[in-house]
Amino acid sequence: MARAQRGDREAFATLTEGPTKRLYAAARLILRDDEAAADAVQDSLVLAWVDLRGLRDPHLFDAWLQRVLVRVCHRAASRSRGRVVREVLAVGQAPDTTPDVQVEMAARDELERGLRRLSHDQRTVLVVRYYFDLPLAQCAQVLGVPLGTVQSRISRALEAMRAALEADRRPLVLSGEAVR
Amino acid sequence: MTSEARLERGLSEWFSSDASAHPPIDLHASAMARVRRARQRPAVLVMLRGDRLSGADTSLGRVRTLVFVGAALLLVTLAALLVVGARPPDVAPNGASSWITYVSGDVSSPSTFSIWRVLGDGSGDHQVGRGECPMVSANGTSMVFLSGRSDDQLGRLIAANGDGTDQRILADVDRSTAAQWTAAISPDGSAVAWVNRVPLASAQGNVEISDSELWVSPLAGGPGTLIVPQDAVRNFSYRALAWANAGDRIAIVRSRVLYDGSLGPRSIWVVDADGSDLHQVASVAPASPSAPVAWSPDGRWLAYVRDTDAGFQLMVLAVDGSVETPVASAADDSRPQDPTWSPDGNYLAYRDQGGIATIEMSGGVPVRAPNHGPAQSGGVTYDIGAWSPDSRNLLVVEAKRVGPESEAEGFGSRLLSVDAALQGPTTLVLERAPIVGYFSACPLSWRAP
Repeated sequence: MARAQRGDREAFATLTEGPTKRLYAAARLILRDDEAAADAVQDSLVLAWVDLRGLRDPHLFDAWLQRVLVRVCHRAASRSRGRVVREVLAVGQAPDTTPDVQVEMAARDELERGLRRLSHDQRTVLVVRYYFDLPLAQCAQVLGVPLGTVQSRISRALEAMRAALEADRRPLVLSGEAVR
Repeated sequence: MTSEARLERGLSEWFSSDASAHPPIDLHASAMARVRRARQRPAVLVMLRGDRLSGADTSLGRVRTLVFVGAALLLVTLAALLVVGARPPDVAPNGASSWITYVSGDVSSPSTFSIWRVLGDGSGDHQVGRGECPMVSANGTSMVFLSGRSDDQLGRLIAANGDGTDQRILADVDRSTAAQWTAAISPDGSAVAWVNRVPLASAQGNVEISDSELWVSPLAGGPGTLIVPQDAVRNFSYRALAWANAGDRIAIVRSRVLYDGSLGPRSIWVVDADGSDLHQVASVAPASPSAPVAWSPDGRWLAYVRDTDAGFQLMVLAVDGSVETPVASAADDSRPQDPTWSPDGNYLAYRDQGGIATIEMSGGVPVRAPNHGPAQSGGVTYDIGAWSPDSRNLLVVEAKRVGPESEAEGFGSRLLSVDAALQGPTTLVLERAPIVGYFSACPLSWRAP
């Protein structure tokens, strides 16, 4: 870390090679777009390099890097606001048909759809809390908001997600008639 | 288990088992390629932007950040005010509001030489010291001059502020050779380069005294630096010192001291102000051992007068020795001397047959002053004084012998101002009888206030 802060790019490359996969996964969950996630990770690593000398405590590097990613994702989401990305199942894609896997995939698909219906801030707080698996106090640091705000955002995000999942489970009603 | 707990558990399991999130294979490499082109910010700038993770998010951290940012803004504002206040005006001061430093005295009584200052419009004339040969730094902040009676054997080198205040003794000087005393003040006024006279043993065993060591001494006091020591084998004399405007190099004319003590072949050399990189830039002979060499303001050219079979030639020489060209050709009626560049580098002024001439460096032809030409009836002669800081005007010293030539007294002199192209009217700056304002090594100065 010290070498990287003194401008050693090779040291910085070694330092960031490991976390890159986790950063990408988090960005993908937050942004729900593979390309945007890859861009966000690149931007985060460059920004981290540029601002690395401002990091006072080297032990907080991982949390600091996550915070940089969250900020970059926030900016990316702001830029793409209003642009809707729709996912469709590719033709010919054969899902695994074993019963357990089917159940698991159905549950994951349900969660994914629920996550997509959340606001950017709500998705972010859930990713930081459950993907990075951070305690609430560290979530507050990474998100740059007070602890109480983190608690309330998580609560609202889970509530919104549950509502979205329940709405998914209800049959679609057209003109008062359920479509089966 | 509540529905919320189930949801949290579901998210945790999904996220932790998310093996589908394989990043593009070159993602990290691509990011590092961008990192190689990026430069790190200084820590203080990052801190100002509030990118620190620890401390910045707590209330105390925010207060600290706000206090820090406030203090930084205050400092920046104060620094900006200081810079704006101290910044020189964009346009160089004109001659009327700039100070001319000159020497006045009765030539029949050498001990009465004194140093004076007058504004370019002729006002504010006042004496600032007793002595002669004043040299004012290009930035106008410092001055050095020789004190003592010129008929004394020993004088003193005095350093002072540009306005003559705070005079202090720098060194004792052998006044018996003061007319040949060689020195030059650095452009920033921090040091003086001077030539020390040391004993030289001639081939016949006679001991001669010659100016064979070049020193640079700080005006603030303290030990000087010997930047060109006496040659162990051959005897050389160093004259005509000239600092480059940047203050990083000094040009000198080096002459070989012959067996009889006279000066032989001459050449132009340049040495860094710290004594390094002493090298010859021209092996041709300057017109005389003390003929001044003038740096162009950008430090790329040297102007000097060369003595050729056809007569004197005003030459401009690239400091790297790559180009040398005559700018005023030798002619029967031409004898250029004492070239000096205008501060903006657009003109070169020189003395010619008792008159003055200028040449525009962008490709003009030499122009002689119609009213200040070669000696007229009555013995009037003209000399280059100094350029005004804005390069618009040239100070001319007019000397007129009013008495019999055999008598020392009787020089009536005036300071005149003419425009750079020598086409406009002449303005009388000062009339004072007599003015002795000109030594070959110590021209007048016209500096910004």
